[in-house]
Amino acid sequence: MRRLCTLENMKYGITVLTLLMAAPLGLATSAAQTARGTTQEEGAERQAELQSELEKKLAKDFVGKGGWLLDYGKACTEAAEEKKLLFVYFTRTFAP
Amino acid sequence: MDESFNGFAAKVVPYLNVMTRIEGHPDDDLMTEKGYRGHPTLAFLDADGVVLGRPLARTVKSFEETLQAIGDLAKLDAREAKGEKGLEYERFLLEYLVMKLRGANLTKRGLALKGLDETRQARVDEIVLGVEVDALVLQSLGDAEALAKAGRRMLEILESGRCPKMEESANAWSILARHGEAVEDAALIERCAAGLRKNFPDEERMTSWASSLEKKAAAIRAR
Repeated sequence: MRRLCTLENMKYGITVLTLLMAAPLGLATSAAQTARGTTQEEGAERQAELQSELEKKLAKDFVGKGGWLLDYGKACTEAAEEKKLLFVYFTRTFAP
Repeated sequence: MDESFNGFAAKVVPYLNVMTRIEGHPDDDLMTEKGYRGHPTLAFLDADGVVLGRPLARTVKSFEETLQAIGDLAKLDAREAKGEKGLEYERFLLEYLVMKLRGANLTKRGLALKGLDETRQARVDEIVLGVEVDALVLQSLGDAEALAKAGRRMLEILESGRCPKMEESANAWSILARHGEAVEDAALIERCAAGLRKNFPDEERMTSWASSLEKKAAAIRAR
């Protein structure tokens, strides 16, 4: 009986311990999910910003006037067909 | 890019690669794949994507020169393949023009050329001096003493008129201007402003920098 009680107590103890451990874990998980959610939102916002920066860059005068292609594959094909070299301007949205 | 760019652009396929960091944006890493790190970078590639050269300066004149040099280099390869000798100067010059030779390697190859006529020797000297200018740019990033030393040497080179390439270097003008400000030399500061206006007429930040230098020179003169 005593042994059973001990076992019961142990089971009870384990259950309580599990609950005690689970609670903060659950909170932590919930907090992590919130954080991840925020990060995802921030990520989406950043992506939208980057897209907007790209559009601003491509709207610049020199892009239209210089006849720049924006598709590398297409540029290579055109270069092969016309037996010309590619003149590549590597830039960033915030670089000259 | 001015009207003259369109004339040059007709001879090539101009391709603009904007690194965006947008997820899934095509060819975002093309520049690093080609071995370059700094933006902006201009390069000539063949239709298979092989890099053949880069212009020495961001001017249409330099783009044209590089395009010509790439063609001439291919012809030189063919001549050497047929067994022609004594083309070291031509190869040195063309590899310099397409930026295949740079830094210490450029100096070493230039100094190894012997028996050149006066004109060719002067050209080699100018190119080798250009390497020194590039080294001075780095040196000037040190302390005030290093900047002063680099500034004085830059001024010597500028006044010797032996290194026109230096005039196309914004860094060189920066060092000279900072040196001019440090020694309160209004004439030198004005010279830098004029140099910036002459060599970077279409770049707003350069002309704005030139205006700021002109104001500083005027302030020094007014004292």
